[in-house]
Amino acid sequence: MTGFETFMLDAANRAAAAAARTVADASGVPFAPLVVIGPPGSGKTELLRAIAARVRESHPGAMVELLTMDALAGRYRSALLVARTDSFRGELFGADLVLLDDFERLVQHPDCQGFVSDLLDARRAAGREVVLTLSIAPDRLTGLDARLVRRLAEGTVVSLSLPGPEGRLAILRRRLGETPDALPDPVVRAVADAVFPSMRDYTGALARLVAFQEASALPLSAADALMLIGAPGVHPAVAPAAESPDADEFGSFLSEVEASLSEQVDRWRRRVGEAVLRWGGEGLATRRLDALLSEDSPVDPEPVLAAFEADALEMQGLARQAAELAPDLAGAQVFRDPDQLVAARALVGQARHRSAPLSAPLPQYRWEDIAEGPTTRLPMLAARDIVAEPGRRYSPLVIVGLSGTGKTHLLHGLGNALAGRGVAPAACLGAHAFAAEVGALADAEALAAWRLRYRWVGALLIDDIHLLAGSPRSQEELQLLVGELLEGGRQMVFTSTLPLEELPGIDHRLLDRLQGGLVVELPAPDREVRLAVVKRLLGGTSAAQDAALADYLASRPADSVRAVQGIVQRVLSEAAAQGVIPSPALAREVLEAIDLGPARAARKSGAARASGILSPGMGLVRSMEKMIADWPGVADRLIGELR
Amino acid sequence: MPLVNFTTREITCKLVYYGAGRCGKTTNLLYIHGRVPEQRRGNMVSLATQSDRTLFFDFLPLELGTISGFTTRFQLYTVPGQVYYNATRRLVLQGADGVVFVVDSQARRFDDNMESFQNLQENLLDQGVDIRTLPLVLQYNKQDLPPDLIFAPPELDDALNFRGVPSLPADALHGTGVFETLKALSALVLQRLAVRAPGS
Repeated sequence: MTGFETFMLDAANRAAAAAARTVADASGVPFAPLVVIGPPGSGKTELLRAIAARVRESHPGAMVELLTMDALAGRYRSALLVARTDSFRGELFGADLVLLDDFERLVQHPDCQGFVSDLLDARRAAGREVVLTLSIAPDRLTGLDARLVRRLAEGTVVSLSLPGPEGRLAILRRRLGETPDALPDPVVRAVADAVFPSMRDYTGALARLVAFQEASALPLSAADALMLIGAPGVHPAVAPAAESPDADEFGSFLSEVEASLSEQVDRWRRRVGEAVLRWGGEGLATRRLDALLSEDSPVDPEPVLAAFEADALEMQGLARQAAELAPDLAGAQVFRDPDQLVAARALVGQARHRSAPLSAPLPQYRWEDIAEGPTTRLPMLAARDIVAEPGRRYSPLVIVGLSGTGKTHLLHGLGNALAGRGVAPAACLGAHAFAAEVGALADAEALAAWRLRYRWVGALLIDDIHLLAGSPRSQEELQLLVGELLEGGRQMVFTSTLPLEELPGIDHRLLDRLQGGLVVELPAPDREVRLAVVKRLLGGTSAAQDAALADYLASRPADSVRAVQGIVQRVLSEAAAQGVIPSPALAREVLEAIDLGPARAARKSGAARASGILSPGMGLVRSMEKMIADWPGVADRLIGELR
Repeated sequence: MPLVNFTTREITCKLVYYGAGRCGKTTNLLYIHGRVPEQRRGNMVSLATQSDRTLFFDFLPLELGTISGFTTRFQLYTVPGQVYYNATRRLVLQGADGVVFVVDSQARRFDDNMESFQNLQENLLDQGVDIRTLPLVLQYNKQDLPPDLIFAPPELDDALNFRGVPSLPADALHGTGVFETLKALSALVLQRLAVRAPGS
């Protein structure tokens, strides 16, 4: 005998049992919801279990949720605590069947009423059934949200009363389950015929008798059993089912007002929900709004929403500032939580300190413009490695070279290349400027702020490190800074006109740190470098395409890039002055005249002599001018011969 | 404007039945009073003259219970229709969330209706309320009378309802259209729910 048949034994319960079976078999239009009203102990829970069992039997994979309202409230609060309400909501909203027992207990859990109301609405909209049990009519429940009362009234109400003797007998026999002989049948029947206020009393009595029988050698008689359980006589008349709510004019009016009001008042939930979606979608934590949503009764969301929006917008502004000031802070967790505004402000304050004006690489020293020749291959190789992997290969890199060899260009070009690769901020400054900054730090606070600025640089590039000689405080700060940046894996590049071991007046500890990196020499520009420099300087002039001119200029003796620049500038200036296009002939005229001038003067004084062939002009024959040797003056020769 | 007070969890709406003398305002309230369960209604206060005309006003409080967590109250008022009680009418009209203008459909009362309607507009204007912004419903009462004595709703619409507000035929004495009118006005009023922040 199935659970439903047990209930079918009582005429009064047949409607409830039939409705329950319809739900279990999903053979009808959803009752949405089916409300089972019956006094305590009338078998409501039993009916729900029967529905669940039948569904699981016919559809083994079906998800059936059978919950008391206390259990539901507990799970709901647990889900709230671990911020998994969506998951819990999904479980209940998506279950094949939801069975809610002791629905009247919901008045004890006002914080869950909104959730349950949403649950009923959602399942109704989805055509999914909910069956719930009540011990009193919904409209007699005080403390139940009117929206819920209305939802219940919209469903189908069936009543359940305490089963009659036959029904009770069937239930008790089913309770005995697999051990039907645990009690003599007359005893079971006697219990079923006894008078108790609720079905629970019958099953309790049955359990007591089973326990007694197990401990007793003699089989129980019906009379003994009744005496043991202290059962009185005949069962009183079954209480009538709860009456359905009347539909009157006022009720209809009230229903409309409730619907309208619920719609209006519940807008706050939508407002908050929309805000949660919006800010959550923008990657911000919405704990404050989530808490608002979990409020049991409506609250005015506007002040909270306005405050949250203000905080969220400020937080987004702070995040942007932080990203600009210190890219390493971009995406920091603190900037995703408007509740951590104070911490975020402090972080941005720090970022502002550390990022405030740092000298950047000069833009005119472009990485692409750096000329490379056989003699500069090593420093350029190191520079390219640094650009590829900042802070990982050679840090610090120390470029040693005479004045004018292009150290500054290489330093700034490297700085620009690093900045182009996202290494930020790249602090690039001369040693004089560095020493001046340190010298200007008046107090400990200023020193701390200054240190903070430099501690967070992406790369530090200092030109002419030899100029720190005589500035012990700057050296000390630089030494500390180098240590910190090394620990942080930041890239450092320094230039010096003298080899490190020859630097006078530099603290050996600083020198040790610098020598710990890579020291490369940038020699005087070779011909390839000179040609590249000449071509770059001629670019954009009317002689940009004159290969002969470029070749000639690059062949001129020059021990530095700066000298090459001077040569080119002289030719361009003369061409501009004469109003002609720069040419090899003009270049020879300008440069060799300059050379010959002093040579002739030297000949007059007997100090030096130059040899070479002057070009007849128009660049047909190239000058083969070459210094072979210094020819000693007459006096020197005489002295030499005498010796 | 009806207020949702989140501090006290209360919603209170004041609805005023307005119209010419003897048009059926009090009858509306009496009918409603008779249909409201006892626990839902307060005592209907009616201050009437010896000739059963409303001297001051009728007041019927309705407790609608807890809706969405709010204790919801509707307060229904009528104004004295007689011309010489305008001061009382103004007083009652103060703070109204919505107005039912009850029209006596009898042809012979047409001018009284028009005069009362103009009076309503003037009184609202005196209080700085534009009638176009106030929830308003027209109730064409006494439609149960012989057709040759009354104007039909379309005719009354032509004459009075130039703003196109909801209008309903009614027989307040027997209840026809009474709750429909109340529902129509309630719907309009509740659409304008304003939220008052705590402490404001």
